[in-house]
Amino acid sequence: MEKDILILGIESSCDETAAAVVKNGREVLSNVISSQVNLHTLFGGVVPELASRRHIEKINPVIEKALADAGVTLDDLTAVGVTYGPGLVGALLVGVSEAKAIAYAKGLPLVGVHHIEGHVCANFIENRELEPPFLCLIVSGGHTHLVVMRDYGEFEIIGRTRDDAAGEAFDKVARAVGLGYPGGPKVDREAKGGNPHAIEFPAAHIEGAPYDFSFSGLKSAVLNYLNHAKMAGEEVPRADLVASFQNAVVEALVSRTMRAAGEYRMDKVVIAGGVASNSALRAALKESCEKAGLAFYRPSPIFCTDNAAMIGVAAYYEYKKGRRDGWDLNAVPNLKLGER
Amino acid sequence: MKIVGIESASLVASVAVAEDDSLVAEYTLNYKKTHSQTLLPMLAQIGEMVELDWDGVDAIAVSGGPGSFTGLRIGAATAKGLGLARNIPLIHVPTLDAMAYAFFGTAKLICPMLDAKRGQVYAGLYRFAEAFETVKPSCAVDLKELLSEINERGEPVIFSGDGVPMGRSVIEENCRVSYAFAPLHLNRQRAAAVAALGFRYLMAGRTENAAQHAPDYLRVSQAEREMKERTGIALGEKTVSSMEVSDLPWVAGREREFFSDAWSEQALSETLAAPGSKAYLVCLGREPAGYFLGKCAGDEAEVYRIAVTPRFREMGLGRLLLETFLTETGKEGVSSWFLEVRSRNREATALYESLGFKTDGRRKGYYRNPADDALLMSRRGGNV
Repeated sequence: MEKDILILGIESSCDETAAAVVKNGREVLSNVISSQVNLHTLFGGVVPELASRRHIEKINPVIEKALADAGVTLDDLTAVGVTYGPGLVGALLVGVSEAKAIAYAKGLPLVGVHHIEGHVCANFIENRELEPPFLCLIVSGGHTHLVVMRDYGEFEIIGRTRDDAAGEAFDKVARAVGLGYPGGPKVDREAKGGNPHAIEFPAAHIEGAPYDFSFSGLKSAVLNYLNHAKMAGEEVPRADLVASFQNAVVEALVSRTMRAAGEYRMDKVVIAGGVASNSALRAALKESCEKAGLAFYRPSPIFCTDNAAMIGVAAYYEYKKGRRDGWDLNAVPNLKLGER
Repeated sequence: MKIVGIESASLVASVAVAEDDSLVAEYTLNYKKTHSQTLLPMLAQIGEMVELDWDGVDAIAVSGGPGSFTGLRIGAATAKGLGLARNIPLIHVPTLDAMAYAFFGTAKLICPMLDAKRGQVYAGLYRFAEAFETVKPSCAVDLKELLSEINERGEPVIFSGDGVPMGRSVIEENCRVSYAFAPLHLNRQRAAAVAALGFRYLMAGRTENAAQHAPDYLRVSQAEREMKERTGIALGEKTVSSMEVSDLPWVAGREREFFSDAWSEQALSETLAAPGSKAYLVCLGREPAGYFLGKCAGDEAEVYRIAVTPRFREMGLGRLLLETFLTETGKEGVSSWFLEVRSRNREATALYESLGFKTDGRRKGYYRNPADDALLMSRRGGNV
């Protein structure tokens, strides 16, 4: 029998300090996340310097807990995987520096991981039968991509946002209507009590790029609608407004995903990223896939949020392909998908 | 005894291996490459050159600030990772102290300074008299202000650090005492100096575990500074004070907000006036953020309430309040502490357990809204 491959994953690209131990790329032995959301809520959004300071305080206890929860020691590990981009540079550097030091001190191979590839790989955790190729919709606070995952570690981007990421639009609209940070879950909750067809917001289409997204126009339309109503002295039911906004976002995401699945002849559709935990998006995409006879996969919310289990999974496939990073591995804040 | 020294507080990246009175290896770069690309490769290289056996390393001395926030964190995370992996302690050596220690034995005043941006330097004043002494601890200061303090002291002084090129003309114009600029082998940070001072701290038992270590930035983030100016809230300024009658309306408001069995202002006021009462308020800057109510009688004490406003949770304020109570009552001769807590309040029970409380019993259905059992916890003897 082949020896088990145990990977310690470390993630610190934004406002979660996370560590996990993953066995053979699919089995999560531990998944520890220390969230800073309370801290950043005070400031209405993520403050990079504060995030970095909190990472330094939390990283050792988080790693120690991940090892203890998994019932392993560093001596049992095969490799260390770490997110090296994209993300906040100061935040990334904490995880990268820590991971390098641990790998060096224990003589372990180091594997740098792309944060978004990690999100895609989160789908492998709960769906043991899932294998590439498949179509993946990646939606988060910083990213909106439609990607064909051809094989492990091979990504072809077929659509992307031209301006705001979907999650960014959620945050901005949430702030404008007084729901506050973080916008995604707050809009999702509020929208449950509203009529998604109360207001028809325009869905932008980009000429000649059928799979690209644009959310800044939609966001402006919501803000304009609010301003007009305010000047006219009209009361806008907040639940209706955010439900209609959310519906427009979901519509834009789902229609492009389904069209791409058809054109690229994909029989599996997968979602990933923080916004993938949005309940309306999950429901709409599930329904559309069922109608079209496609298999639909999505991670549980705990694996949609930034976590290190997904980094451990992605690191496993990179490790198998032979990726090894040197002690000079640096944080790359604007690392592109598919870039090595 | 063997120490690994790490220095990355500003542009200089430096690593050293030292054994007893001898420097085994040192590698120092003063070059525009990020520490993330240089620091660990340098350590790996000297480690290989000198066949470093990590099992024989007693501690890691790390330059702990002030300096560039990011630079400090790269050094800190590297040291923390090494410490975690090899299970060895860290020694936090203040950056400017190590720079000054390089001038061992001089009769002059030593003034290391680093460019702190925004028109300031990070600086301190040191001297060797009987022993190595800190005259003025590290701070962020306006250079002219620092120079007038040096002028008042009237002693000859040596300047070093990357604050010198930036402030040279100001020094030449304003310094009224005899002064010298350190030469190139002494005018920047060196990991050997961090390790040398680290040895003294190690002998004195001044170590910390890898999890505890964090840099001393000496400055809050810009976001915190702006928040303090705008609202008076200062996240880094946690102060615990005795609760005053004038605080009671605020406390009563929080009682109504947090507890189904809220105490009225009247009840609070009676509790506050009762003999043996212990009541504290914790503030972040000017903003009240939480409170504590308890009492002591003879050698026993009881916790009534610990509450922190939701937006200021996860900042260790509950712990700070409880530690204050335990320390203060412990000094007054208390040796047993008691409390009741909702059994489902995992955050609270974890806090109590971490401070030495143990569960003695359970009262079924003690709490209502929502229904829950009460855990009876106690703590006996021992220091905080």
